[in-house]
Amino acid sequence: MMKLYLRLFFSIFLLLPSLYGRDFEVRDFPIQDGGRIKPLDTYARNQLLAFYGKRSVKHEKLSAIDWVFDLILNPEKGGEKKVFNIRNPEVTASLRLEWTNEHKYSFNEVILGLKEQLELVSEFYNKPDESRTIFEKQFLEIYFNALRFKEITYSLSCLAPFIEVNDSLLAEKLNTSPGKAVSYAHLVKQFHTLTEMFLTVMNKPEEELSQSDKELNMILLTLQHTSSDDYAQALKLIPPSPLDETGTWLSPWELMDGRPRAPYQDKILNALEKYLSGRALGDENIMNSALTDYEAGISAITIGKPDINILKKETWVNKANLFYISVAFYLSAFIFLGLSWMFHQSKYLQRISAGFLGLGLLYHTYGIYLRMFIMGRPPVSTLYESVIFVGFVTVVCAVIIEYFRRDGLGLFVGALSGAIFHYIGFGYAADGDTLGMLVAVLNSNFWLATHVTTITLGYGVTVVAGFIGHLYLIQMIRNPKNNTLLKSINKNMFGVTLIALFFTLFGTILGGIWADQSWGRFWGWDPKENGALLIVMWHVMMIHMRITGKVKPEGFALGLIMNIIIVMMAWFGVNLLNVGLHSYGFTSGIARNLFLFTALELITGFGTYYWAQSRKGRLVV
Amino acid sequence: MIKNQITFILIVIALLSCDSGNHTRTYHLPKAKNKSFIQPAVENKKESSGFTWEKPNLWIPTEGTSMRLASFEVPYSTGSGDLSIMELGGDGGGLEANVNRWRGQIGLDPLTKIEIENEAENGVSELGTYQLFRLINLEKKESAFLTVIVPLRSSTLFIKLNASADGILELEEDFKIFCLSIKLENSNQ
Amino acid sequence: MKQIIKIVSSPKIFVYTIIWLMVLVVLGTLAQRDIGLYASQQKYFSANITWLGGIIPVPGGRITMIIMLVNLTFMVLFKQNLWKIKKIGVLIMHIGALLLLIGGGLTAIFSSEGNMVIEEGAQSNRVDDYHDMELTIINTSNEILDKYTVFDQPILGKGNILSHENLNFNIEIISYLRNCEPLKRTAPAGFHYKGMLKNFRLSTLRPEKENNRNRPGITYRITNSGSSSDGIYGLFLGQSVPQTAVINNQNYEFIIRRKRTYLPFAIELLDFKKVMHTGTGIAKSYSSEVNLIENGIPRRVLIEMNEPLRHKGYTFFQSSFIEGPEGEATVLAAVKNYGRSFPYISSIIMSIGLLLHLLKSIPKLLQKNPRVAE
Repeated sequence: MMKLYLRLFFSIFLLLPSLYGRDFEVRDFPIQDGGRIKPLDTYARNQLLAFYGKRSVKHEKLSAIDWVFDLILNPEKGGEKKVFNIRNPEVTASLRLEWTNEHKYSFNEVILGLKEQLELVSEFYNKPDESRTIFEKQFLEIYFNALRFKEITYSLSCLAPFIEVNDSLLAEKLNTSPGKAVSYAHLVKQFHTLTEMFLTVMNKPEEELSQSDKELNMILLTLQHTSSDDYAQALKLIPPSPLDETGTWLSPWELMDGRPRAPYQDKILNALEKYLSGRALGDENIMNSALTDYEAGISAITIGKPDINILKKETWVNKANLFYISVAFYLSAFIFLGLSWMFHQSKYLQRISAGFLGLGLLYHTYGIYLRMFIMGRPPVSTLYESVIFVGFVTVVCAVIIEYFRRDGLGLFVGALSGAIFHYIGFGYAADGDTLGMLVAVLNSNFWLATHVTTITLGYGVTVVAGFIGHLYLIQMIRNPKNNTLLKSINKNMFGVTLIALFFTLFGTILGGIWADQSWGRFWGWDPKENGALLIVMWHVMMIHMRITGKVKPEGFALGLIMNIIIVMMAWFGVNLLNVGLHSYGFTSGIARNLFLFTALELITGFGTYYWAQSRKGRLVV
Repeated sequence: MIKNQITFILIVIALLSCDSGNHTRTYHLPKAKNKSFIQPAVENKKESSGFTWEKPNLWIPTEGTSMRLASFEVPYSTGSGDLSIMELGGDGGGLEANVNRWRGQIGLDPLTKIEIENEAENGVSELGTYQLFRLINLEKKESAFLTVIVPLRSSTLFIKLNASADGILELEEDFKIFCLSIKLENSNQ
Repeated sequence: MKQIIKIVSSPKIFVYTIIWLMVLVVLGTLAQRDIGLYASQQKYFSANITWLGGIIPVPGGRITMIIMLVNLTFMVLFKQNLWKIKKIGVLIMHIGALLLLIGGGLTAIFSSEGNMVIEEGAQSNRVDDYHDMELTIINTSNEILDKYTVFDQPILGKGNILSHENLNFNIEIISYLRNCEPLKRTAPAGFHYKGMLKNFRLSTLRPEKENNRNRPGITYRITNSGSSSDGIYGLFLGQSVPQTAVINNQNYEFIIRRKRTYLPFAIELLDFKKVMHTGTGIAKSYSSEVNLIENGIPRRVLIEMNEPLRHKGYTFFQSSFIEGPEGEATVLAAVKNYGRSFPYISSIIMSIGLLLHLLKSIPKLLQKNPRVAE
């Protein structure tokens, strides 16, 4: 046990050096995808995630980036690897595949099945999205995945060393050595030589053809065959020419049509070619030399040059799994807290628990900071980020509460909520790239920073208030006589609620101001606005009922618990309604989880409330 | 008690009857000009574009812009093209303007009206006469057009296929058959 | 009097109204799935009476918020306890809330939203309302000027009779349809049907969720013209050929269209630009470079997303665009809102109030607590 923790502890120090002064790696190659420049590592992980369901092929200890290059350098073998994860037996059946427990299939198997079913594809595609059944949606998904798989496989076929030149005469003329494999690109550079040679061979009758003539014909045929790969433009690794205003990056095949290239484009293409040939041979020296050339090529870009340090940071973040480490610490904090209760509120154990909570918060904060740094935007821009941020807020609140109370209440709230929100976040991260670009209306950084941050702060504090509400009722059940403790928790409940009101109210109004600035209307009664309004109104109602004495502390506690449900509805539920300007988050399965959560909270809330009431009632007797 | 409640209700009703006033207006304007090319008011409902057609099975309908009556992704052996059908009021800008604009988009120089008329391949369909244009720039073979312009009574139909030069040649047959299959909705068939 | 004040400013009323408002918000939000945002707004929030299920009348959003407004006003004005130094935070907060409600009321009554479509190189001086329609009658008899008589949506109700000194006839509204389609008649029409209604009839359609997909229609009877033009006519939005009639030697055109407001200035579109996130179909930003022309004098302005043009009480936002064969046309959202400044003032005041109150009470509420032995 101790060893595990020590290892985790020192992991900080091991990882730090990899941040600075690390050499440029193939993982860091800049690629344009989804509207932004990202490291190839991120792209590879997300593609593998889309096909396979995981970001690496664990049972083969194959990382995503290695998988991609294996695929590029060896399409036949890559096509046989079982990386298509098909979860629906109906889909596998329709592709004439056998259902197995692992339900993983290779590209070759899938494409064979799809070729027979093209009418189905067309038929399903014709339907509007809402009317498609789950089966139809998944079937189409497999189809488009397969197309993309193929595109990725052949995107670099022009640079890969696939063509062997054995004849020494030919080899010399074509600038290579006999037995060495060269790429399409290399040969295309010698187009004139090839054409010359072909003209002399063209009219020779069959019998007069020499060995090198025959090989020349083979090579030309291979070239022509390979050129049909030019549709494959999935890997936009090449920066645009300085004359291109749109700033759209290109895939190597796009540059094979003889158009003039900027010097840095050439540098990068050559470096990529060199890397591929080095990797095919397993020669570290060639690969390292290629990496150096590649880095030089990127530094030579004149307009829109990507920052290599940011790319390296993102690659590091991909590997570091900061939030996994954070959640491990939160769980450890919870375990030690539990231990401290078992051992008569051992202060020593509680301090350890607090230490773990702090470490967890450290990794959590660092993760958020890095995301901001990489994307250059405020911490909460997407639904995923709001989950991470709310988790962060709850832990911070918990730490503050613990600082004031020093009785473990804060630790309980922090460890539990920190862990829960991380797990929700993992659910979203499993869906795809969490560092995506935003729609135009969300592009304004100032309002984004203020409104969304404030509202998510409000969500966080409201959740903390609800947690304290739970604790109040539990404490009331455990020991209804302990009035001092109950009173102090009660005061905290009220205080936290006021703070929650401040942030939710202010956040909601800022949202209205943002809307007024962007679209000219402060309030539109759309679901997300209504959700935020409900949270505020509930707070206001509970506070007024408490002040007028209409509700007792335990009723107030129950009210706070209900508010957690309202927050979840406003946060996740509204996306299920799909109306208005606010619908930009989407994941399936949310409805079910939301329902389960609501049911759980209602049962525990009301259950503990009535139990607490009865405990109090017994006292009076 | 009742008096108090009545007062309250009266206050509320007074506030309720707030209205912003006059609902009839008059003014004068100089005579209205011709309508612009943009079709106003009602969004084009995809279901009732006013036309029907028959398309090959492999052509996949896609989401076009709001100006398009329909959009398809058209696969061929080495890739896929984009086909759009647009209906524009009046002459939609005219033959010369449109053809030269398409020529410009693939890097070809503009032609005079007479040259354009000569380039056109004329034909007849259910909708009336039409003109077909094959626009290929040999120096930019990845993007070429096959277009058909059909003048109707008060509008013009533009059917445009954008694919690589090879794709255009491969798809021409299908494209022609498709264009010929376009009929007015509710026509007797 | 004191009793009235006590009742009207009672916090009990507030609690009941806020609970009811929450119920309306939940119902209204869920309803949006079926009837769309605009219809739900009209039914639950703008209305005085909401008809649940179409048959049960309950207080609507408007009346609920008015009650809240009255309650809050009386409370602020008359509750003596509130006007004490130690409650200053609370007082300021409630004044802020009051301002918010008032601002909301002003917006609800006095604002309008519409758009302006301008092709590149052209100009426009009018705003077309998003939701409200107008019945326009144009007297085209004069050679140079057309005389417009316009009736706005609120008076286009069934059974209403419209008349004006400009018109030598009366119009009786027979029906106003929120969404309809013209269908060719299968049986001959009665002799009193004139114009388009001779060959077509307007068939009622279920309203679409997106209000701008609806095609409103209207049937009306012309009476009292003392000529053969008396009869029943029909119009629908987007009709390509307007309904004409000659009544007593005057030429008239009848049109139903989105409510038009002509402005004392014009906007000319010089250039429209859109930037996409590279390599995707997701728009990064749009912008319109325009000339604001007033009294013949142009002034160059750049309208971008999040950077609107504010002029003479109107605010013009870059909303979207239309692509045509000859170029692009920009679509600007045009909003006139009298209550615009209230939310800003109110939020500042409310936050000051709440902050004051928090600063005062938080130290007490979060105080350190000695650990209590179990």
